[in-house]
Amino acid sequence: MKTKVLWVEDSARLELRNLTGPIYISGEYDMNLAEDATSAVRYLRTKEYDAVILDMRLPPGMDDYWINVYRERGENMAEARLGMELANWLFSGKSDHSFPPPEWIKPYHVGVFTVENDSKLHASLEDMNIKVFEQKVAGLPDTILIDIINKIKAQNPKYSEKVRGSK
Amino acid sequence: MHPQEIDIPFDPIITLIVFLIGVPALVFQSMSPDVRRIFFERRRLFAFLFGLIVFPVLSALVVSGIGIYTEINSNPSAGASAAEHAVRWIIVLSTLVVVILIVAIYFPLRYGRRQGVLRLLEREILWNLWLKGRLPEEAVEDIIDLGKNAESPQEKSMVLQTIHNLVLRTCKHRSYTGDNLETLILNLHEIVIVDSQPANLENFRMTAEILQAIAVARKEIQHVADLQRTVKAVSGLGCAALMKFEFGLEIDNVIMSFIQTLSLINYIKPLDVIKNQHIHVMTDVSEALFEIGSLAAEKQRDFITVAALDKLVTILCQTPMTKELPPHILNELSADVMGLMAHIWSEGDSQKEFVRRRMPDVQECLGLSISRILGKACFHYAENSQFATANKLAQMAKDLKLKRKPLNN
Repeated sequence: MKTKVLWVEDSARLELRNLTGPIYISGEYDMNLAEDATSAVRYLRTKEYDAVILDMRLPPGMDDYWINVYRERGENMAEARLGMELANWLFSGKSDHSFPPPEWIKPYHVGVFTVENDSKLHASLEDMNIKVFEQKVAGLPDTILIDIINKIKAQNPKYSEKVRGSK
Repeated sequence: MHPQEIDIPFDPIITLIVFLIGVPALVFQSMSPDVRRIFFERRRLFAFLFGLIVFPVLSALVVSGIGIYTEINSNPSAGASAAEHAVRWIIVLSTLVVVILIVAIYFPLRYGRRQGVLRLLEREILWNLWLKGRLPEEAVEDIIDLGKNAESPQEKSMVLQTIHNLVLRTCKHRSYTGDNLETLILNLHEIVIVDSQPANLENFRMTAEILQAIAVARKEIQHVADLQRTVKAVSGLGCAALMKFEFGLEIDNVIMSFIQTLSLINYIKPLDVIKNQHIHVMTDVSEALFEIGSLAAEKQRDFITVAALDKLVTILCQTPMTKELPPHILNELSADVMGLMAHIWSEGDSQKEFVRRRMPDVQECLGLSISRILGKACFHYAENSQFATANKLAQMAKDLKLKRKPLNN
């Protein structure tokens, strides 16, 4: 069974080939890509993923709810941090989004892959029990997504039991 | 001026009122023909607009009437001064000027542009949706027309944003069964593909979003009709995007969005009364992925091709191989996988190597030998008059026979 992965990343188009190329070529992953908060919610409500990789800076997409949050925060992706808002919707119950978060998703399904790396961000992620974090810096290997997916899978009880069983 | 004379400034009053009537007429004149047509054809919108014109004119008449009435009834013996007379008419005339300014600024801004009529149509559609649970087809056609005739990509984006809102509201509505969006889905492409206009990437991206919203509106739906139409629309638009845009990161991303929409449909569970409806949709999905993938292979857009094949193999391997599964469906799914592989195969040696690596997955899923799968696929395409693909399959079979050893190694 392929590992189901959702990568939520607005600038994915720029890294589409080098980062997702190895994923598609391997044939081991069932990968989806969401470029904004609206599409991310749509994917998360449709399908259960084994790994969700979140960027913090996201555009709102076409949903009025996300557009309004984005506007309220000065229409700036760095300030709006819609990725964090998405995580809040999933885990902290602080969001006013009209759709409830999907029940299947747990913090151990999620990892963060972003350019930001400040203490406030880490504190918020810790509050939500999101432990996988990778900063996006120059010179990362093309297999970075696969590495993050493996880290996320390693903390998922479903996979760690399998690994223990096979040992 | 003698206080006993009735001195009413009729000239400026009439000039201002005529001007007031003239502003909406000018706005009507300056509207693009398609927007004007919508106003004239839709009685309710026209009545609304007529009300908007009549109201300021009536207010101007009332204000002038009050001025005239006070002038006539002012008591000259009470010593009404020239200053009082002047103040009265200054108030009346400036009120008229203010009304004119409001109309002259508000009216063209609000209703002179495509956005104005779009908002009115959206309101009408939402009202109908709330009342009857369905989108009124005529209004939807008008919105599509507005998008089709919009001259700039920005105007088209506005129309697409409205359509997105309508789709979300419809799909959320309790009476949405999975069969309410026919007009919209079937005509959506008319907005983004207009022969006389260059295609716009952002408009394509928004269309991809709308179709994805329809495709995954609900995890469980009663009917697959909208889903099937969406698959056709996605296939058509995906191929159109490949034809219309040259190679580029942005466009690859939009096409990937079409591919992902198709792959997500595998996770929708229709509750159609007709057995196996979902499986029938999956053959449409598989065909659509094949269409996009093979065109991408032809245009050497390798990333798109690889992604399409990956999704096709996933769908094939996720299909439950039960006794209830009609054989022709499995044939279709496996033929599309092999057909796309043959298209990739024909493009060069690296592509051949990639196909070789992916073949064992297909073999494992189907539990058949490659030669048998290839033979069936070849027959399938020949039967459907898709001779180009049948030929590529035959060539691949031939090549594999020659190099059977490396494959088995």
